[in-house]
Amino acid sequence: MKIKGNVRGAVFYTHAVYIHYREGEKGIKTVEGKMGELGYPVKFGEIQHLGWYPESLSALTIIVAKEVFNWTEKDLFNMGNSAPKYSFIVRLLMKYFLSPRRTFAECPEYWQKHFDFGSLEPREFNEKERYVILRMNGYKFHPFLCVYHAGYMLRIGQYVLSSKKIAIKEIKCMFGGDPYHEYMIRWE
Amino acid sequence: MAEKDKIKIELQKTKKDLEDLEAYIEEFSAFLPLAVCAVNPIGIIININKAMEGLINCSSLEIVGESLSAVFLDANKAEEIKKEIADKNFIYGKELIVLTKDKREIPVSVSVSARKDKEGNYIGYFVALTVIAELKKLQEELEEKVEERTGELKERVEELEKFHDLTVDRELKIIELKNKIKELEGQASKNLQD
Repeated sequence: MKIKGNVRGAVFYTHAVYIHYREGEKGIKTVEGKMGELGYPVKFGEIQHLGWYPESLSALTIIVAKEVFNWTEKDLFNMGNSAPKYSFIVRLLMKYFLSPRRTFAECPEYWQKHFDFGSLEPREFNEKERYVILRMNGYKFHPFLCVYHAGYMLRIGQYVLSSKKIAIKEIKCMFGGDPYHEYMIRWE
Repeated sequence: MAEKDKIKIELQKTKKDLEDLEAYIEEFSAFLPLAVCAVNPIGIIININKAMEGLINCSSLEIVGESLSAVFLDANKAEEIKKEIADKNFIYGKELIVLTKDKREIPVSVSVSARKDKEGNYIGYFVALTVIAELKKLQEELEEKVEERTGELKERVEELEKFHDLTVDRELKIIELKNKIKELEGQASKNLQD
């Protein structure tokens, strides 16, 4: 694949769990089959949690799943939102999620545990106005991934914010001409 | 061998060990018949085992990320646990009612253990749920039996008391009669002498 950059195998595992949850074992086989047809074979059962795999392959897995199952963007958002629930790496990183501020500060470390490229920067933490802004640098694969990541980051917020009303919005996007992606998480 | 290569090999070994350990924990947790979950400091469930999925009739995907209070009939009790465990290290045998996804109510005994990192920071807690529905049923049955037996014994005691009263009355009457006979005999012999 042309786009460089690797991701931990744990992320593929989260894709597999969600596909299995939504589409069953047949769904897993369908995605594996389609990936093979496209010339990028993936065997979810053989992926190692801590191994490094091309992020382009992970992104393609998400795109293929969306296409073959006719998933909506909401489904992709939910896929991202569910991913931290069963990620081995997230479980290891839970010790950092002590408070919203600490979690926010640990973003770069969190990113590095998952990716060997790009970065996640904590830009603004406004406790009074109740919002945070996170900046994602050097990550440009497909607009679907913006939706997936919005769901993912919202879940991290849901893990550390005691509010029941939390929302996320992508306020800057590389596919819209911005030099990076920015996400704003707001809570009540 | 270059230092860099040694570090690389060491890192690979560590990764392998960590994955083996994860697999072991997963296997152990899946086998464990005790329902267990890990909860973060604000009371959000971050991991559950198979037994817990079975108990609450809910998949890990549905319940992880939700508040622990969602598992119990009385949400305030879960809040109490959250407050209590932040100060204590252990809570043992707290009786609560689990509310399953299909709205069944199951009595459980809850044990909680606080989690701390190497620096001693409180990072959440483990919760173990033991189903005490059978135990409760047995306890109720036993209490019913004890009550039944106590009733029976009371009846027996009352019967015995009645019997006792009757026999004592009879004895008293016999003594009275005997005395009367003696008195009459004495009177008769006196009359004969006169």
